[in-house]
Amino acid sequence: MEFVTLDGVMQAPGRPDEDPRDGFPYGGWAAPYDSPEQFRMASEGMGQPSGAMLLGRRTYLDFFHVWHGRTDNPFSEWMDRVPKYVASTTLEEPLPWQHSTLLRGDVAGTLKRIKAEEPAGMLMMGSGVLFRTLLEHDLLDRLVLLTYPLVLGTGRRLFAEGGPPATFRLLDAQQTSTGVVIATYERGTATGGDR
Amino acid sequence: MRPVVVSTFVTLDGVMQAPGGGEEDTEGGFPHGGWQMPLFDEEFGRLVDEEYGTIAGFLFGRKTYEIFADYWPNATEDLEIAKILNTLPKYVWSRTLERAEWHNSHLMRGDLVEEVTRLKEQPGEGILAVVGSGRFAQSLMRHNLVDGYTLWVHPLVLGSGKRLFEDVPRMDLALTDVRRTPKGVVVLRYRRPA
Repeated sequence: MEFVTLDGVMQAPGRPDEDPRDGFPYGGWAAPYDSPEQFRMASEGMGQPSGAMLLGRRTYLDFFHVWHGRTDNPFSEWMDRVPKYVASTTLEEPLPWQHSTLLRGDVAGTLKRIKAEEPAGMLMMGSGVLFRTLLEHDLLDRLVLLTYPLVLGTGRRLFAEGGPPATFRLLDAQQTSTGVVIATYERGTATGGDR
Repeated sequence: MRPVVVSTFVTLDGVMQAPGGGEEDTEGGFPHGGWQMPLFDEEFGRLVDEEYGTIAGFLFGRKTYEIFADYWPNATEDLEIAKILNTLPKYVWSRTLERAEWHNSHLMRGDLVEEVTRLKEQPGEGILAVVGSGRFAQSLMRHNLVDGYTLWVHPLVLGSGKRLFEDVPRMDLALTDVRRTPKGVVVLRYRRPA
């Protein structure tokens, strides 16, 4: 699940201090568009008894910092409880958040194995570097793209220049009252053929 | 006032280069030309016709103008679109073109802001559409001349190619419409907030 602007920027949607790399001045750009519909969708996704998360180092540490141990929202209990797989070449075990597993080395190879062990799927958010690894190794099954009604003109993009081509099949497209478009895709072609 | 609307076929990674054919625009060694065609279906065609039915005139950059002027006067398909393109006024901005001979074309040499503002203030209904013309559309964005967008978002990622939103300022927009086609194109309409 990825939050992007119309120009594909995915850097720091939540808060100004979330990811100020390269002097990015617009951190927190998604917050003004919060809506009850989007909150309900996120709550439903995280209301499932099972599930797992897959995160890159930066998003993992940020989520730990923001969500761990809180009781004032419907997300923290789920995030604290489910297995969390973290891709990083620099983090060391033990990881700070309970139920965390560090993925080192051949992330793509390891993920293929873990996908089989997590039948309820793994939720990935943010994690731009890992997202590109998944695309390159054809490990992304479903993409929920939340497109916000603004152009920023600067910032890190979800689909970086030089990434691999990929085709998707649209499953669903909704809009929120604040103008966010929530489109759900799965890998494949529009006509139902192979990837 | 006649609004300027940028109406563009884009991919999920925002690429707008050469949707229609392999030879349309190979600049930068772009190998994916023609990516729109497999995603065309009846509903897509109907939505394009609907959009073209609202157009009062076209604003072009040089490159797209030349591609269109080469193709549409002798088109044998999409005759409704051809009729609209061939008939309506076309304004092309270029420093290098010497003449614009496609019927009802106007070669624009003056100041972009003044000329576009003057066209917007002309009486009448309908939109002034910018199709293709990526660099030109970005100039309009930088001069705050774009009033709306129709983004035809195709369900694929290309990984290279010219993007619609490049070297442009921050712009906050309002979503006005969402449509989808059977082959998974999501048509998003935005306008500049009042």
